[in-house]
Amino acid sequence: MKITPDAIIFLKIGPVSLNATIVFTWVVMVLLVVGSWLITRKLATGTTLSHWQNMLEVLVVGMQDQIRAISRQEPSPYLPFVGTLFLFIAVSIILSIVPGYQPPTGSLSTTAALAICVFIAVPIFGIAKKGFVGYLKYFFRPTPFMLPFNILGEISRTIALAVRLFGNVMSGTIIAGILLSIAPLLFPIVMVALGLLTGLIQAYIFAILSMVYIASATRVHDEREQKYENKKKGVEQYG
Amino acid sequence: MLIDWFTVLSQVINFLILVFLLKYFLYGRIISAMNAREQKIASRLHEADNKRAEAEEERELYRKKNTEFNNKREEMLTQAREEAEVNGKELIEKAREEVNAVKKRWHEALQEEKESFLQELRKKAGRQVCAITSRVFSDLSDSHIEQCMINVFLRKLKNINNAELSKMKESMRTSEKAVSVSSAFEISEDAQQEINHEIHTYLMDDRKIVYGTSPDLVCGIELKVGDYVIGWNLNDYVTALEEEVNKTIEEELSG
Repeated sequence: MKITPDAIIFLKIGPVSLNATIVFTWVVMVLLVVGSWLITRKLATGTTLSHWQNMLEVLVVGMQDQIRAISRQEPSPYLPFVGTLFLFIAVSIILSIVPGYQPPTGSLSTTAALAICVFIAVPIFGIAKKGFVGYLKYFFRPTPFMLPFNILGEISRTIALAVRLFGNVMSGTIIAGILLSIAPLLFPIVMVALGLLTGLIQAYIFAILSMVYIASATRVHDEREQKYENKKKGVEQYG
Repeated sequence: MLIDWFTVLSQVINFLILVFLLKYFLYGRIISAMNAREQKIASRLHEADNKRAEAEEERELYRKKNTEFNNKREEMLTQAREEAEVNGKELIEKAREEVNAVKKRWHEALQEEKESFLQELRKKAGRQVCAITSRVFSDLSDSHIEQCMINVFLRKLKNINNAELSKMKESMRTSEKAVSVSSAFEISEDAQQEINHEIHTYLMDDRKIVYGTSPDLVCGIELKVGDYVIGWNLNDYVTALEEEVNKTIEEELSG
């Protein structure tokens, strides 16, 4: 039994190997993109709309609301990134009920890739919002001595993000595999259902945590800076 | 090794491609559709608000117009009522005046009729009295009433007092006209000569004397010298009769 779909290699040309992770990622991508294209090619702007459009609108509005609730900011800049994280992970996991399918999120490479994306996205959004210097100031708070700890915190939470998703999806797959060998009937189905639930929760958690990190790089910076500035002003004024 | 760095790189690229594709095919389109719907609904609501505001304005306008119309109607009614009252009063006044005028005309006509009747009565009564008297005279004696009248006239002329005589002379002097003797009947030649003699004797004037008949005299004879008139006329008696008749008529009318 293979722990990761990286190990299932369909084609190998030199260092380039086309493994199951990449292939099933493409499958998920095609499903998402073609599905979106099919639904959104004829959108109604009136009061009557199709069920699919309604579903997508509910989904998009739900994601916007979540982002707004977490970041307390306008969700438009973050929606494509965070929303795609959620949709990609959720669809990857939901498709695991299809026989022969290997969820790409069960690969540490995929989760690492997603975590790296978040790791890069956080400073990008922070800099876009605060400017380069403004963002860097965050690492020197509350004192410059905290710089190494702040950097360490950034890296460790990214790794935790990747490992959490990987562990959950992989464990689900592995438990289903183990149970299949012990009790081949009925029980694995329950576990698959449970795996779907935990998988969806993981997708939600991953997207939410990403948003929290991005928000911490934009909004929290504001608050901290504001507090710092106020404190500084107070000292100058009274003291 | 659980991590294949080539796969990681591929997945990063795949994910980024997915982000851009979904941004174009999903989020962008869905959000613009929702925005368009929101705008449409907002514009409809705005339109509805505008229409409601317009309706409110129109309702207010019509209410105002209605009030104005009612006020105007009341005003016009009051004015019409006042005018009608004034017109009515005028008409009543006019009718009263007309009635008074008609009454006046009627009174005048009645008066005229009465007068003409009395005039006629006087004439007829005079003539009748004259005719009866003449017949009575001729039946009872040989003399005629005309002769009696001439005699009475001559006697009146003879017995004229000095004041009347001087008045007559004064009138004769100022007037160039001829002396005229009028009577209701033809005066015979003999009687004319007698009258001429008497006038010339009393007036001592050779002025020509003109004789003529006048039906207005009814029954009588008179001498006219300028403005001075002297004579005997049955008219005086007839006037007394007329007064009596008049009195009787008025008594009958008032009774």
